[in-house]
Amino acid sequence: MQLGELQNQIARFKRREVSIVAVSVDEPAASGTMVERLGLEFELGSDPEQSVVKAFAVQNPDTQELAIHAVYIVDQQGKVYYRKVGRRRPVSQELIDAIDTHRGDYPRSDEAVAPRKRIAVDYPENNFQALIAVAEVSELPETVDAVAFSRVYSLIKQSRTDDALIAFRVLTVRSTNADQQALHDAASWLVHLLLFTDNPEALEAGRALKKRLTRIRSLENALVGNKDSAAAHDEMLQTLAKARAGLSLARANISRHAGEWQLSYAKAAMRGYRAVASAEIILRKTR
Amino acid sequence: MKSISAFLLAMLTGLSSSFVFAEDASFARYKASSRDIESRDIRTNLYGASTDAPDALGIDNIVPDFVLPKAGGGNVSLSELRENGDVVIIFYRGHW
Repeated sequence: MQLGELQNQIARFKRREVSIVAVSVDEPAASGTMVERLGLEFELGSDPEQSVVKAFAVQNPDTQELAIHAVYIVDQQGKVYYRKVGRRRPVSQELIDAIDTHRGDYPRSDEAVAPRKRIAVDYPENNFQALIAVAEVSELPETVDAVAFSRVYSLIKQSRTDDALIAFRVLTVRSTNADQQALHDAASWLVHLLLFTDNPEALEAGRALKKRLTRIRSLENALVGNKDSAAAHDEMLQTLAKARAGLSLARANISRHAGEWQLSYAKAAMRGYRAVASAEIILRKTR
Repeated sequence: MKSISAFLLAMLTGLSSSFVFAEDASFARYKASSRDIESRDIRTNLYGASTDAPDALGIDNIVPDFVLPKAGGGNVSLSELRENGDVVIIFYRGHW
């Protein structure tokens, strides 16, 4: 379960007088940055000694220092009436349904809280192709606070991702004249600076990858829509197989240069980019 | 209309149990994992069990109270949370 998703739906838990506590083996300070970043209104307990993890017997069999993912719901006597251990992580709706079922009040008509408004990002996280798409900005917009921006940049360079996200929020508040598009462009510029300024080859490699992906997609569509002979079908399959082999080569080329191009920043850059989505909420609060 | 949609659902999944799911809406059913074919009653031990943690506390067990240091200072106590109502307890991997 994503703690952020849970936070979005917290009003529904409050309405049912249900508290939430999340337990991890992180130190309180590490959890603190996450509370700040996600704006969590429920408690995050730190269990570095794993005393609670062991009491519930939910240690991770692979790495003894971690818990396995688990969710319990207990009544006021501490008696478990719902649990899900190490399986597909439940979303809030499942937990709400468990509570309502337990109380004999299922299904209860209860509007789901609308998810936080996000800028539409129509590609997955950590996707090199996506990074190429967002990095097509050539400078920092004038309305964006340059000092706050350079702080975000240096924090990511130091691999302090969570701090960087908070700094990005600071950036949105400081840049009083920046509109959503300017913040969007600032994030794109951040991606560009982190990944492509020193590595024009990375940008070229990414564009080549994107081109191949587009071609494969159109080939796949053509194949599905094909009503012609079996021979034509076989030919299309062959073309597609060649295109896929080309894609593997393009991917291998990028992986080979991953160190040189510092693609480890990709994740941080993408998260910075996504932070823009939450910027709008702050803008609304502060203006 | 309801029975038609239930029928379609059964057709789609090829399972008679889906029929039951669509007809009986008095308690919640979910699939425990993406590999499960059938949805199950979520109130059973079978639903939330994992072979990775065979000894994990289960349905109707009383969980031990705990007091842990919390983010932002202070402590979080399960027994205090219980005084206000039911409690959802989540174990998660950590922020990295």
